[in-house]
Amino acid sequence: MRWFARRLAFYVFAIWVALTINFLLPRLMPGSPLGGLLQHLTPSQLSANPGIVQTYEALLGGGHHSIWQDYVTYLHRIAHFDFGISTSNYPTPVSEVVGRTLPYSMFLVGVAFLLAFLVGTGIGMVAAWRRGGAVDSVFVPVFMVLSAFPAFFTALLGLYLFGLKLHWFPIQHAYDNGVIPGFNWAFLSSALRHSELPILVVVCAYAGGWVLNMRTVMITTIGEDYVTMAHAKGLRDRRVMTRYAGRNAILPPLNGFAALFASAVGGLVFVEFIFSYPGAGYTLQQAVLGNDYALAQAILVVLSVCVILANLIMDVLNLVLDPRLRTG
Amino acid sequence: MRRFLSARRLLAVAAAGCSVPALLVAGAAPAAVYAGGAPAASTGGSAASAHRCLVMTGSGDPAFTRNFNPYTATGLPSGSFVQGAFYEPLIVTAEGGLKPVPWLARSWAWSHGNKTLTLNIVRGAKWSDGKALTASDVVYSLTAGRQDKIMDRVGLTGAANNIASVRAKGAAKVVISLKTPDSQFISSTLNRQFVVPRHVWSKVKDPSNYTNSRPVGSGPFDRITRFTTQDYVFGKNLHYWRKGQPRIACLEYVQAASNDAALALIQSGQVDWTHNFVPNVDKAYVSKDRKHFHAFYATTAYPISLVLDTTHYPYSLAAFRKALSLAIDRKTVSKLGEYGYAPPTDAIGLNGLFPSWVSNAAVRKQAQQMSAFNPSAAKKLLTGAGFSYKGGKLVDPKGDAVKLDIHVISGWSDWVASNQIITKNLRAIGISSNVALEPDWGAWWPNASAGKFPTLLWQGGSQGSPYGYFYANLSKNAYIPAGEDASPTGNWEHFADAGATKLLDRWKVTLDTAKQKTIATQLERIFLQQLPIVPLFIGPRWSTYSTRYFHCFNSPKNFYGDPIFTTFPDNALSFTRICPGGKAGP
Repeated sequence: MRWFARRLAFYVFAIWVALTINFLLPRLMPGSPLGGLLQHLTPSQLSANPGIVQTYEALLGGGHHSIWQDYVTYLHRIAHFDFGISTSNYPTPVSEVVGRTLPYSMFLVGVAFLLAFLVGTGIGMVAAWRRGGAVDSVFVPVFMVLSAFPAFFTALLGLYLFGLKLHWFPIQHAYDNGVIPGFNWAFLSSALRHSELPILVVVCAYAGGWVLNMRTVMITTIGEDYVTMAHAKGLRDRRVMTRYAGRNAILPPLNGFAALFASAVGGLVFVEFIFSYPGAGYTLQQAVLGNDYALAQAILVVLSVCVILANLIMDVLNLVLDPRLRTG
Repeated sequence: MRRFLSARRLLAVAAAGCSVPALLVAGAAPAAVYAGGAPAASTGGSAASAHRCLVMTGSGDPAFTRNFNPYTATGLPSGSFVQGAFYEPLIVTAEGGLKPVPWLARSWAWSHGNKTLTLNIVRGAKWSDGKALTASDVVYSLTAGRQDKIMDRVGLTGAANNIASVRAKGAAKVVISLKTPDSQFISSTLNRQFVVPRHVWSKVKDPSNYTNSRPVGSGPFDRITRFTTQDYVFGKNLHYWRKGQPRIACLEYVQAASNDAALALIQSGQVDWTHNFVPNVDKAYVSKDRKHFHAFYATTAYPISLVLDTTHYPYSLAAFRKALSLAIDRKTVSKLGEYGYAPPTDAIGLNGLFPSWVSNAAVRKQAQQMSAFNPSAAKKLLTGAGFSYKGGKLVDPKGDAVKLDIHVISGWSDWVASNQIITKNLRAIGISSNVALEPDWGAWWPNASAGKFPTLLWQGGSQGSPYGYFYANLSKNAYIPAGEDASPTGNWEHFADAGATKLLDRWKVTLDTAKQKTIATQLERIFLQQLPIVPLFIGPRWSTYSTRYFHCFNSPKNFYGDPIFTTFPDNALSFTRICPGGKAGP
């Protein structure tokens, strides 16, 4: 329990650090929210609306406070879950924008990551069990090559091949134009169609890590005495693979889950941008481009809390899976 | 074994957390991949069938926010569409030197020494909530700046206000009294004004934060029939006062995350009309369907110029600016930097938009000479003005080496390419010159708009005549001191000329076109003498459109204004004139 308390204290500290960095990052970027708003104006619009710069300045509050003042207000607001107004979506509150985009990302990352985990460890396990077999000599190299590409490259490749050339998948957006989001079959099926290619890309990009990790650990585990013992007991091969070797082999890769999750969140920004998928990653990219501090901060907070939570869950999961930690 | 089962349960719960859709995808995704090559229906659903709505897209938009406030959402496409589609202009003076088109004001007359303008407002027009559109709505719209400054479209609350009063005379007449006669009032000031319903807007307490999610309009489109964060549709006004218009049933605007995404949409024919710049448009777009895909890059537009802070030595010397004009190879810039879409200009820069306003042959000839590529003449001009060369480097009369770095946003590829050619030209006459790349708009704009960066900048000016162009660059009344944001008047170079100011003041009160042209010639002489900015090439108005499902678009043969659909009031012309039905050819 003391171990758990120590971890918890660490996470609180980690969240504070993340919040502080989230506050500083957008402010260290060149430009201002005003510039972000004005860049959407065409030259003719700018000249047809004399005084528009002043108008926007007034809209954005125009106040110039010290950075410390801003920081205290920021922490106070976050504590009350008040993220302010999104300047690039003026005058929509940030919470509404995030609330609109987050479900898409959660779905995308959740499903894709789980699939990558299942596919990756499955293949890794089988590949190690039957070294030199069909799975080992075909799937392992393929996934290794795929995972060597950055996620955005795989996304571009997928978009070009399956979207633009073969027309198997829609090329952009989260649902068909003309469908109204809501809990109805037309929307859900359309949303599903649109998520297939991004999910496929994320799975391809991240399953490779699992495959390799699982295969390596599994090979060492196979040599353990208890595996030989299980064989000697006359258990079925499959049962030995999954419940004896596999279960023990999964511990080290699982520890890497959280780290991989963090990198997946980073990859999300690119994948969502390439597919114009209206999730948190795409919105973050837009917010950063538009110097929308409030929105960028809020999404960064949500993402960093997600990553920290994933770490926490892994810790708990470890506690459950590895009895040695509980006594330690 | 028990412990293992509990671990498995944990995993199962985690899987269930992602619930049914996860399982569905697990089944559906591979099925689609291994479908054996049977192509599934592509996106949009509408791609295969004919378009009912005219489909448009921009060049990279954020997810849509339901903000149809025409005063504050100007940066959003929704805020641009609502002007023109829902709220209508009074008189349309379209870009390209065209004659004014009567709109809500069916006719007008000047009286009292050209100080009183009487507008005859259309009868029988109705707002989409059924109430009648009357002169009181027009008066309200023109004076709304008194309710809130952001609603001021005609400068009523500004320091330079020239409007004495705006009154309604009966239900269909509006009388505007000016303090002094203003020849630019209709084409410049009134051109910005759209008419909003008084009974709606007068009740809006805080217009800045009002999103106007269901606009009550009088225009060709008066209802939002669908709105999501990635597309929206405007339905046709069934009781529109212009009988038989609009000809199309609806307008649809779809989101494209980037220029590339927009290109994919127009190439596949899913989008009918856009205004983004497509490099090598013939190959990238037109060649995909020569019968139906067209690019109209209108060159009836103001020039894009090299703008220097003229208060900064030696940029303050007219001879230096004239030498720059001679040293820059405009033809190569246009060909290599701008893909040939932006033709080079002469030294006045009006040959694309207002050739008829440069009526004097001698002036025209001088403008051409001053823009002809001639580095040796440039060097001669410089040495004649006290400059010297030390080891091939240009040194100004005060003895300092001349430096001129041009700042540009790294993503604006055509301007980057143009600037690279320009800096090469400048180095050839001994100026230390490089292209400085700025990461984004926010980093570039504040310094560029204040003239702190020598840079390529757009030019804005009034419609109807080049008055606004000369006013912004030469008049004392438009002058912005060095280091300040010049966007309110467009005096980016911080320059003014006393003689030109007097001429412009006279032009302003002169309604006689022949007299205006005489003044224009005098102004052109001053412009060439001072060369406050160095006009380089025309800033074309981009438009690509498909005639698969619609025709009557703005085209060289059917030119009625700015082809860009976010430009008010020109877009009102497009929205009412574009007609349904496919047609081979433009």
